[in-house]
Amino acid sequence: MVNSFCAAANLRTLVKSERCPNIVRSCAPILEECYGQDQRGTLMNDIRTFDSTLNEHPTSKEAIWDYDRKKFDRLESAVYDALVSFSRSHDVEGWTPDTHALLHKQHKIRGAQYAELNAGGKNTGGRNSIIFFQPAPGAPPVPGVIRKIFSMPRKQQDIEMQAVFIAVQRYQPLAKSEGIQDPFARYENFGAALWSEELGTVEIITPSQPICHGVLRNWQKGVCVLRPLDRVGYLLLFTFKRPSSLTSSWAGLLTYSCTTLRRQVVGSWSDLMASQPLALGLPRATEFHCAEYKRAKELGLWDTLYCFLSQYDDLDKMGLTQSHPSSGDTAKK
Amino acid sequence: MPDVGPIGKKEVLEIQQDISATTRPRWQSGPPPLLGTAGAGKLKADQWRSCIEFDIPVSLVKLWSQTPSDDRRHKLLDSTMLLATALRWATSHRTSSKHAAEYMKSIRLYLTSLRELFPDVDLLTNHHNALFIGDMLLRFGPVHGWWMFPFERVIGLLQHVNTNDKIGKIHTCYLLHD
Repeated sequence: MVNSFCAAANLRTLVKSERCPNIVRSCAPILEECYGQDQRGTLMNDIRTFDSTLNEHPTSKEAIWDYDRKKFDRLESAVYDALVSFSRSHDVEGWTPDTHALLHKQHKIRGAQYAELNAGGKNTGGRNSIIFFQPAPGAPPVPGVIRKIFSMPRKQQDIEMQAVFIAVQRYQPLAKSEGIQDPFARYENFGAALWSEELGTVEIITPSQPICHGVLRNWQKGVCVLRPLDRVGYLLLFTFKRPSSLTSSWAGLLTYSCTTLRRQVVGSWSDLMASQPLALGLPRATEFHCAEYKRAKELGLWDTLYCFLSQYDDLDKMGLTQSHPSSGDTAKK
Repeated sequence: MPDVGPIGKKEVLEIQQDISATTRPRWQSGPPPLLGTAGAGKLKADQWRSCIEFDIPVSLVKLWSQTPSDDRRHKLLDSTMLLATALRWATSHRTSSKHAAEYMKSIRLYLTSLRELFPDVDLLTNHHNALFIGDMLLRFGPVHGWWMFPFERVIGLLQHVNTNDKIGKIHTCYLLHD
């Protein structure tokens, strides 16, 4: 089994590298076709997620959003008001709130499909609309329901890019006056809790905030039980210089290790083979903020990665260094 | 099969109703609506996971959380919640030494509760294996990179291949199947 896994890891590296034979490369679309529709939380989906959504390195040309303003629709007044309030509290460069936007029935975030409540079609009963999201850095996740998903143009460095926004309504905490005791309070680590079915005012979040699906069940009239299905990914950045001893099998091992860390470490496997220092973290390292770095450290992800890699070899021997470009601190472990 | 007395027809019916009243994302394959009856068929690994991740614990909390703490039903509930908690820590998409420690704490308590609730039943190899997962979380990262779900899928695929009991023909059959 382990042999098969290692072989698969090496194969993935090979497929991503330039020296991959064309015959192997041509198999990829066939596999994609066979398993492309699979949405279950399996390893296949994990790997695909990694490759398709998180691993994009858009060039400035690709980032240009070619939109048709005629397709824009008027936002509901509640959503527009929330957007105005969002623009006051968040400084989004090159963007101002507009009354019109391109509405999406669904949108894929980090490999998971989210849909607006009334999207219809396969989103029966709002299955893909119940979410848990983190309203602010460090705050605990709260449940909500997606009311609208929409895009607006955002100008950055003289090019217009797509800025996606999600209008959500939170489930309200149970009022003490109702006198309902939450039996799940005894099982804190289980993750479920009782919430009022009453929804709060509309608020705006962005896909970059931690977000995951939730599962809901009616408990009694006006009360429901909600539990997050942990697919929230926190981001972690580490850079390392390619040591001369980094052979393709080492690259395979690193590929495998990074795959297991899934959304915590995002990188391009072809970069792994490149000679220049590389950054695994966000598609564009410039977007990586100090706060997220600290958050990752607080969550212990940093140590996990170190611990994980150190199982195989001494990090010094591999020339592996951990650093953060904006703060300038480099810690060689 | 040990007698778990407290789970009778009424409880099974309640759990089935709860399953039907649950809203889950499309990617999650929930348990069959007729869980607990022959009509539900054999559960797949993914369905077992959903059962313990949400459906059964939440139903049991609703049914038994008001029972006295020394009641057997309450102890069964606590034991189920320990398993669900262990599952949550083990199947998280991120891992750390805290995840490993919390998992080990929950699984040990769960196994202890099993011994107390079912003293006549021996623990199985799987229970023993579960005690190594904490260490493996630290060594190999989150379980999604190394769990056996992909193999379950391959087994599922192979089970649907009609071989007519002709050994050695499976490759041909497999190609025809695809």
